[in-house]
Amino acid sequence: MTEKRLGAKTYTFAQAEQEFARLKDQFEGGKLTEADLKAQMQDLMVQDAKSQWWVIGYETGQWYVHVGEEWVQRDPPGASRAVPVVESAAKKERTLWETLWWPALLMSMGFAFSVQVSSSISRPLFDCGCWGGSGGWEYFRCLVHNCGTVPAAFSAFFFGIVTGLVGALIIKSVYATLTWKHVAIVAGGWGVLFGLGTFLD
Amino acid sequence: MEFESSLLFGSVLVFAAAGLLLALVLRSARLISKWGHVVLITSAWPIGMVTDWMLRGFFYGMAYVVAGLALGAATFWALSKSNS
Repeated sequence: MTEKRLGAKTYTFAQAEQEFARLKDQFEGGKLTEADLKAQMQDLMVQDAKSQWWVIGYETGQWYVHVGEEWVQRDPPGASRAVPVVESAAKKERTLWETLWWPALLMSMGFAFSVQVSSSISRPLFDCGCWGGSGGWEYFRCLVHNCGTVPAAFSAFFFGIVTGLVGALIIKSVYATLTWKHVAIVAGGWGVLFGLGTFLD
Repeated sequence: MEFESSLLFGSVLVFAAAGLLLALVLRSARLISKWGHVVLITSAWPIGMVTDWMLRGFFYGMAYVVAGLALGAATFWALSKSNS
């Protein structure tokens, strides 16, 4: 499976569990990639008094011991349960600026950028005399009025996709557990909603 | 005024629906759990649009900046509360 790096720090079971909780927290906070997590967990191997090697499964959080040629799930000697729920120092240190105001500002700027992108895509296709800018729903209303609902829906669809993508990616950058499927649902869903919105408005 | 009211009504519904979708996706990803947070995220974008509309003399041309900030603040506040 894996081998402990030469010169790497030696951990007790408890220390390895705490370090795993810290790394897992960083991964979920988007500060570590899956590859980084796996690489750093190679250092968390623990050797017991019987010279058996133990590792923590990075997905399950359970201990596995190397028996023969296999890794078998077992609780380590003297442990009441596998991995304690430890609130890591990393989570405590995350400030309100990092978790709230900075991503909110990014989202705000990203949405204004999305209007520019979507109007830049649709304007050359439909010469309707409307200004995209960042003036709000008026742009799509102008397209409906000047060119009809199809160009308006097309432009609004693009706006929804770009805006949803920007918003979901900003959320994913802070909360890595948001999957790509969720990102796609938000982007596609907003595209459909905004596109349909121009018909219903 | 009739045009303005109609415009506002249409955009409020669309933005509320988009906010609701985002909130439901975050809930399905177990990043938020409280229905109060779903309501907050759903209402934030329309409230931002209405605020911009009411203050358009000051914020004209910045609708998505103002409304995006409202949605972003509501979303990340709910996320930080649920994941603290």
